[in-house]
Amino acid sequence: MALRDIHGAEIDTLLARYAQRRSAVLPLLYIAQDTYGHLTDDAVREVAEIIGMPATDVFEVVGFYSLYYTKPMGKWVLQVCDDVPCCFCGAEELITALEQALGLRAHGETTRDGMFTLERVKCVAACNKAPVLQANLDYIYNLTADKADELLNELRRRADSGEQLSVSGRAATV
Amino acid sequence: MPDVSVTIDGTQINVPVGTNVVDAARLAGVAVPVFCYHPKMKPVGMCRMCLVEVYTPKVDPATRQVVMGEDGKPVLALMMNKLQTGCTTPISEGMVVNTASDRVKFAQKGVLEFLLTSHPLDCPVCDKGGECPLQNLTMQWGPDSSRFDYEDKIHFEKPIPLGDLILLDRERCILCSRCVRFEDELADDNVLGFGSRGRSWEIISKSTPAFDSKFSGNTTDICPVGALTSSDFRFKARVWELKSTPSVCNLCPVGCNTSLDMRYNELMRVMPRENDAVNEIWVCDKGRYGHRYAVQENRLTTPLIKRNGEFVSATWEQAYSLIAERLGSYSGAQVAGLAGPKLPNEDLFSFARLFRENLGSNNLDHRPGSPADLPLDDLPRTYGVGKGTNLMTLGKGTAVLVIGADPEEEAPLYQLRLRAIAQRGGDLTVVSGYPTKLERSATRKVRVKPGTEAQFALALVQAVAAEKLASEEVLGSGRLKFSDEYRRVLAAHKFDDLVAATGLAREVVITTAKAFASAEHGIIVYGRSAAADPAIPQALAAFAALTGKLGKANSGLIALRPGGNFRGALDMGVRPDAAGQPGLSAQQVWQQAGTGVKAVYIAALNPAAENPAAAQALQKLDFVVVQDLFLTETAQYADVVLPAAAVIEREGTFTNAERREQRFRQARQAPANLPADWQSFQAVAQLLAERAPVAVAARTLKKGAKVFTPEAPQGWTAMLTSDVNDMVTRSVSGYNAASYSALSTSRGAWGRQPNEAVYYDGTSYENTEGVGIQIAASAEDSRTTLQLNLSAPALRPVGELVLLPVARAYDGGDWVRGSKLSARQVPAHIIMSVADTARLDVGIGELVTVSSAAGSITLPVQIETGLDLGVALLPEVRGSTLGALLTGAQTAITVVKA
Amino acid sequence: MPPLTEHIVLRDLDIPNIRDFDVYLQHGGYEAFRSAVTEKTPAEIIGMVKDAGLRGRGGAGFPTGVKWGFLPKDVFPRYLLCNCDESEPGTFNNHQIIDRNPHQLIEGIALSAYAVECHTAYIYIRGEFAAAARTLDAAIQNAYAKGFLGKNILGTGYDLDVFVHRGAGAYICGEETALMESLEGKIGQPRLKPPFPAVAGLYAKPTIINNVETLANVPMIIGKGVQWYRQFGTEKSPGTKAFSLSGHVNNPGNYELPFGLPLRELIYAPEYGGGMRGDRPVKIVIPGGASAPWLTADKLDITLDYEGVAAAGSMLGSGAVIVLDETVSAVELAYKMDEFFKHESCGKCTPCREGTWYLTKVLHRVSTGHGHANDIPLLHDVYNQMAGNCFCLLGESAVSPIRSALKLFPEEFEAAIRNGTPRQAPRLAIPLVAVAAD
Repeated sequence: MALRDIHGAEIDTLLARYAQRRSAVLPLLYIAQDTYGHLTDDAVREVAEIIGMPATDVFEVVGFYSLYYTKPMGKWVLQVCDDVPCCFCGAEELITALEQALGLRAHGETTRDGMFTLERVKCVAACNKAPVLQANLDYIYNLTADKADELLNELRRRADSGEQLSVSGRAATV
Repeated sequence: MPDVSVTIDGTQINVPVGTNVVDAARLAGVAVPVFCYHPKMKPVGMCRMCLVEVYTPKVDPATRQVVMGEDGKPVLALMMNKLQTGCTTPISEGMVVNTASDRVKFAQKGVLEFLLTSHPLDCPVCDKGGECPLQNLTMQWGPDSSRFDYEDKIHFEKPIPLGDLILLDRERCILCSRCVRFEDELADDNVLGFGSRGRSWEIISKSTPAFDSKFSGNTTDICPVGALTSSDFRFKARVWELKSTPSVCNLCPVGCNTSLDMRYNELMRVMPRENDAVNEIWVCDKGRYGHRYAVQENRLTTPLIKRNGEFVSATWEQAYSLIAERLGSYSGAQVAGLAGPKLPNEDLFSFARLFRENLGSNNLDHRPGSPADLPLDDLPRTYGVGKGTNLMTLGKGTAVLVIGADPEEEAPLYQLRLRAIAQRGGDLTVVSGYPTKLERSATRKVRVKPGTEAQFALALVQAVAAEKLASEEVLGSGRLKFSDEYRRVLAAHKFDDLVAATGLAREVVITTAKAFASAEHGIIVYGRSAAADPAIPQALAAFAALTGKLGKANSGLIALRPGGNFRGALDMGVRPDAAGQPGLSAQQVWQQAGTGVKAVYIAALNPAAENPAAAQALQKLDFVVVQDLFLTETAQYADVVLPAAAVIEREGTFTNAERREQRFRQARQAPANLPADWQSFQAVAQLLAERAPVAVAARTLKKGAKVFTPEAPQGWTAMLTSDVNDMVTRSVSGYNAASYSALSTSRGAWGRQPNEAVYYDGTSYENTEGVGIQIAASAEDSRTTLQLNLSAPALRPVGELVLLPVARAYDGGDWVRGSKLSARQVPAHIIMSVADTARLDVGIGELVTVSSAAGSITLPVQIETGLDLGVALLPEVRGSTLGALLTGAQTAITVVKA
Repeated sequence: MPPLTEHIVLRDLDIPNIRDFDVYLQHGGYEAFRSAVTEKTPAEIIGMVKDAGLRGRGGAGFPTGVKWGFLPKDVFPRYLLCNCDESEPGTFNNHQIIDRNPHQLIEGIALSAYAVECHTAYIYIRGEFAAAARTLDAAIQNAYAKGFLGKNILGTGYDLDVFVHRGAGAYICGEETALMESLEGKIGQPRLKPPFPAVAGLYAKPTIINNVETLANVPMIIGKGVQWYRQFGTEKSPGTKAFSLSGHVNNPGNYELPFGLPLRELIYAPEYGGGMRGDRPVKIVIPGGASAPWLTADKLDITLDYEGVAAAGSMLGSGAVIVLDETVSAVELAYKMDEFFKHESCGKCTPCREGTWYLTKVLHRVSTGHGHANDIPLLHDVYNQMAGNCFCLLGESAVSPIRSALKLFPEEFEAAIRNGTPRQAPRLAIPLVAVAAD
C-alpha cells in the first residue's frame, strides 16, 4: 500500500502547513520510515513524488539528518549518548553492558532477531540525567549499566505485546 | 553603474559598485585563489580559499563620518576583525584589501592543507592532471609538504558513475559544489546533490536516468579537481599531448564555439571555447559528445557507382564524369539539388552556384522535403537581432518573448542563456501550447491552448494599437509599409476573439505586450511550433517592428530552425525562392519525381529515412547522386554515391541563428584525403563548364536575384576554402566584411586575465581564433523599407485529436554514431494527455495506432501530465516517420489502442 | 544570593502539573495574551519587551525587542520561528520548558507573533525531542480549542497558526539560517549573511527567530509588567537565566537564577549543585556550552553573568555549565568535544569539515598513546587554521576545546605523547551505584 492510501489525511494536513510543499519533507520521511521500517530507495522516491520535489533533493535530506535510516533497523533503536558529559558519567559502561547483552557493537548493528539496533549518538539534551539512552526516541534516564538487562527485557516484552512501535519517534511519550 | 575606489595590494583601482573582492582583484591584476567561486554562479563562500584581509574606513557612530588619522588618511579597521572570503565581500568605497599578508598566506596554506589531507595525489593517472586548479593553486599557495599521515587517508569506492557520462572520484572531490550549483542554478536540472554530511559528504545523482541533464559535460570543465571525469575522455590522453583546434558545432543553430582536442589525427575530446555572445563558456552534451560520428570505421571512403543494382567502387574521375554527364543531359527544370543545413557556407554557396549557374536550375532546397518541413521563413534577415547583440550582457531592461519553441530541445544553449537573462532581472515570457523546460524559468509562463500561438501573436499586434504601445520613432520614420492583406487580417481577427481562442485572460496578452513594448531591449525567440504556421513569424515581425524592437543590437527576432547552418543555407541561396523565378521546393521535387524532375543531387541530407514518400520518389528518378559520410537510407537509392570530408576534416564557416558567421578550422586529416563537399561541387561544375557554354546557365539568373549575385561563371578555380569564402564576401549580401582574416581576429571575451582559466572557469578554452562577425539585419539600414504582412492563422483541423510535431535534441540522427549519448536517444513515441490515455485505456509504453488523412503509424505512448486534452505531441526523432502522417501545421488524427 | 522565590520560566518547579492546560489556566495562563490582543497594540508589546531589557537566551544575549524592531516595515507575510534545536553538549533547559511548561512557551510565541504582526509561527524542535514535540502539539491543540490560536482570536480579528516542526538530527540546525533551510525542506546548512533573517528569512520573507527560553519569558513580562520583571537580575541583564548544570556535581539539573551568582555557589550550594561527587576537586568547568573556553578550579569565584564570565576569559553563552573533576583527562575531554563537532559539521566549508576531522584524528592518536612528536605544534596549527576562517560558528566553536586544553593542560599532552600512555576510556568519576547507596 502506498503512503497516500494509509496516511493520506495526515499527509495533506502536513502539506497544508507550509507556504512551500517541500517543507513537509521531514515529517513525510518520518511517516515513510515508520511505514516501511526504513527509508528504502522506493520510499524516498515516493515521498519525492508526493511533494513534487526532485528525488535527488530528498535523498540529500535523508543523508544529512541522523534520524533517517536507509538500512533495516531493529524494532527498537537504542541510542546511547556518548557525548560530554555522559561519557564521564557512565555512558561507556552502559554501552559496554548493552554490547555484551546484545552481542553486537554499538555502531548501528542490529540483533539477529531484528529486535534491537544499538547506536552511539551525540548529546540528547538530558545531561542532568546521565547516562541516558533513547529507545525509539523515548528517554530512559539515569540508566546505569546495571539496569541494562532490565531495560532490554522490558522493551522486548513491550514489542512482543504487540504495542505499536515507531523508530521515528512518532509514538514517543517520555 | 557608479564606480568605487579600492586599493588592492597597493594598487588603487575603480570598479563598479557590487563587484566582489575576487573580481576586483582580478581587474587589478591580482590573483586571489578560489575553488568554489565561479564568476558565472552566485558566490557561496564555502571553500574559504579566497580569504583575504579587508579593511574599511572606520566610521564614527555618532557623527557617521569617516575617522581621519593623524596622517590625514582614513583610519582603517579590519572587517569583522577576521579574514573575509573575497568572493562574498562586495567592494565599498575606500576599502583596502591585502591578499598577501602572512595571515592570509597562513589561512590559504591551511585551506590547501585541509583539502589535501585526503586527496589521493594521483595526478600521474588523473585526467585533470596538467589543467588542474588544485595542482596549480597548490604550487602557488600551498604548503611545501604534507604533515598528514598516509594511513589516515580515507579511501572511498571509486569511480562512482553519476550517470552514463560522468564518473565521480570521491577521493579527489573537494566538495566545492560547483557541479551541483551549475546544474541547479544555470541548467535548472535538479539532478545533483549531496549525500550524507561533514567529512562524508558526497555528490549524488538520483534522477531517472541518473544525472539527467543535457549540460552535464560542463560540470567536468568547472570541476576544479579531477573528481568528475567524462566516460568519453577518461584515461584516453594526457592533456599536454593534445593539440587544440578551434571549431564550431553545427548540430544546432546556436553555433557553440568548441575546441577539438586532437592527439595526432585522433579526436580525443570536444571542449567549449569561450565566446560571450554565443555559448559563454559552455557547450551542451550533444555538442560535446556528438562529434564522434566523424571518426567511425564505417565512413565512406571511395565513390560508389551502382551497376546492375550493386554499388561498386569507382575513381573520383569516373564518378564526377558520370555525374556531370548525366546531370548535364537534363534541362535546368529537370534537375534538383538538396543540400543539408548542417553544411558550411562555402559548400552551400558552391552548391547553389552549381545549380543556378551551371545547371540552370532554381530547384534548390536545404530541407528534406517531408510534410514535416517548416515553411521558408527569412524574416530574421530583416527583423533579426541587430549587429552587436550579446545575450550575456542582458538582464534588467530586456524583455524576451519565447513563443512556440522548446529551446532546450531545439538549440540547447538557449536554455542557459535565456534563463540567465531572467535571473539577471530580465522579463522572460514563455508562450507555449505544451510544457517546456524553459517555462520554469519564466517571469511569465503563458500556456495557450495548443496550436493557438498564431492567435496569440496576432493578439499582440492588436494589443499594440489598443494599448498605444507603438514606438513613436518607428511610426514617425515612415519606414513601415502595411500590405492590404495586413489590414484585412487585422480587421478580420478581433482582439477578443483571438484571446478567446488562446484560452487566456486578456490581461495576460496585454501584460505581455506591455512588458515587451516598454523594455529597452526586446527579443523574440520562436521555434519549430511557431515556424510551422507562416502567420506566426509574420505577426511576430510586425509586433517587433511596431514596438521598435528592430534594427539595433539586442532587439529583434531569433528563429530556431532545424539545422546548425540553416541561416547559412538561406543566405547562400540553397532555397527555391531565391532567384527571380522560383524553383521547386524539396516537397515539390518528390511530388514531381519521374514526371517533371528526373535527377536529384542530394548532399548531407537523408530524406528517405523519415519520409516514405521521398523513398518512393527516389525510385522514380532517372539519376540520383547522394553525397554523404555514410551509406545512408537515401544513399541506397543513389546511382552515384560520393563520400565527403567531415566538418572536423576541413575548414569553413557557419552562420548561427543570430546571424553570426563563425570560422572553424581543420582538426584532422580526412580518411583517404576525402574532398570537402564544395570541392566535389566544383569538380562537377568544372566538368559541366567544359561540356556546355556557361553563358546559358548564367542567363537564367540574370534578373531578380535577391540574395545571390552570381560570380563570374568561370570562377570555379578555388584552391582553398578561403577562395570560396572570398567569393562569398564579394557576392552574398551582408557578408562583405566576414573574410577569414576578419573572422579570425574578431575579439570579445568577458575580461579574461592571463592564465586565469586554470582556476576560474575550469577548462573552457580561451578564444584566440575569433568570435565571429555578426551579419547586420537589413532593418539596421535606416533606408530599408519594412514591408509588414500578416496572414490568417492556420485553422485548427477538426478531429478527435490534434497532432503537433515537436523537436528533440536527442533525435537519433546520424550524429549519434559512436556517441556516448546513443543510450539517451529514445525510440519514436507519441505523447498524450492523462485524460486521453485514460479514455483510450492505454498506459505508458503501450502501443497505439495513430491515423490521419495521410496515413497511419503505430507507436508507443508516453503520458505528459501538463498536456491538454485533445492534443498529442509527436517528437521528431529517428523512426517517427512523421512524414507519413502530417497534413499541415496541425494534423487531425485518431488514435486507437493497437 | 538566596534562591529565587518565584521562577519566571521554570515555573514547573513552583506549580506542579503546570504542563496541564487547566492548571496553566488556573494560574493566570493566557491572561497576558488575552490582555495584549484585546487591549494593547503590537507596538506596545514590543515597547514592553524592550523596556524589560529581555536579552536572547540562546547564547548571543542580543536584546529581543531591538531584534524585533529590525523587521522591514510593511513587508508581509512575516514569520516567527521558535528555535528549539537544543543540541549542544551540556544544554537542556529548553527540554525542561517544553516538557514541563509548554503552554507558557506557546503563550510567549502567541504574544511575540502578535507583537511582530505575523500570522504563522513554527516551533523548530530537534528530532530527538519526539515526546516533547507531541506534548507541544497537544498543548497547541488545547490553545486552538480555547480560541487562543486560529482564526479571529478572541474575537479580535487577529489570526495566528502555530505549528511544531520536528527536525531530524542535526545540531547545525540550531544555527538560525540553517534552521530556516531545514524548515524549507533542505539540508540544514547555514546561509550567507546578509541578507539577515529579519529581512529575508524563511521563504525569503522577514523572519524573527527566538530561543525557547527567551520566548517563555515574554508572558511574564507582559502579564506581570516591566517593573516586576526588572526586579530580577542586573541592570544590563534583567531577569533570570535557567542554568543547566551537569557533570560531576551531586545534583545536576536546571537552576533558574538571577544573573550574578558566583560559580562556586552554583556548584557547591546545597540547593543547587550540592558539591562534587565523592568530594573530588573540580578540574575543569565549561561555563557556557561546548564552545566556551574552559575554566580551571582557580576561577570558581567568578560571577555568572555575561561580564563576569567574560572577564575570566570565557563566555556565558547558553548557560550550560559542565563541571568535571580530576578523573577527566584534558586530552580525552578535548577529543570527545571535537568528536562532537566533527559529527555535527555540515560539510559546507573546508576548515570546519576537514579541520574537525583532522583534529579528531590527531587527538585520537594522542589520547590512545600513539601521538607523534610534532603533534602539539600540529594541533596548534590546525585550530589556528580554523579559527576565524569558518563559514559559521560551528567550526569556530570546535576551536575552543582544543585551544583550552593545550593552553591549560599542555603537560598532559606532552606526557601522553612522551609516555605513549594508552587511553583510558572515559570512566565514571564515582560509580553511580555507590552514589545511590550513600
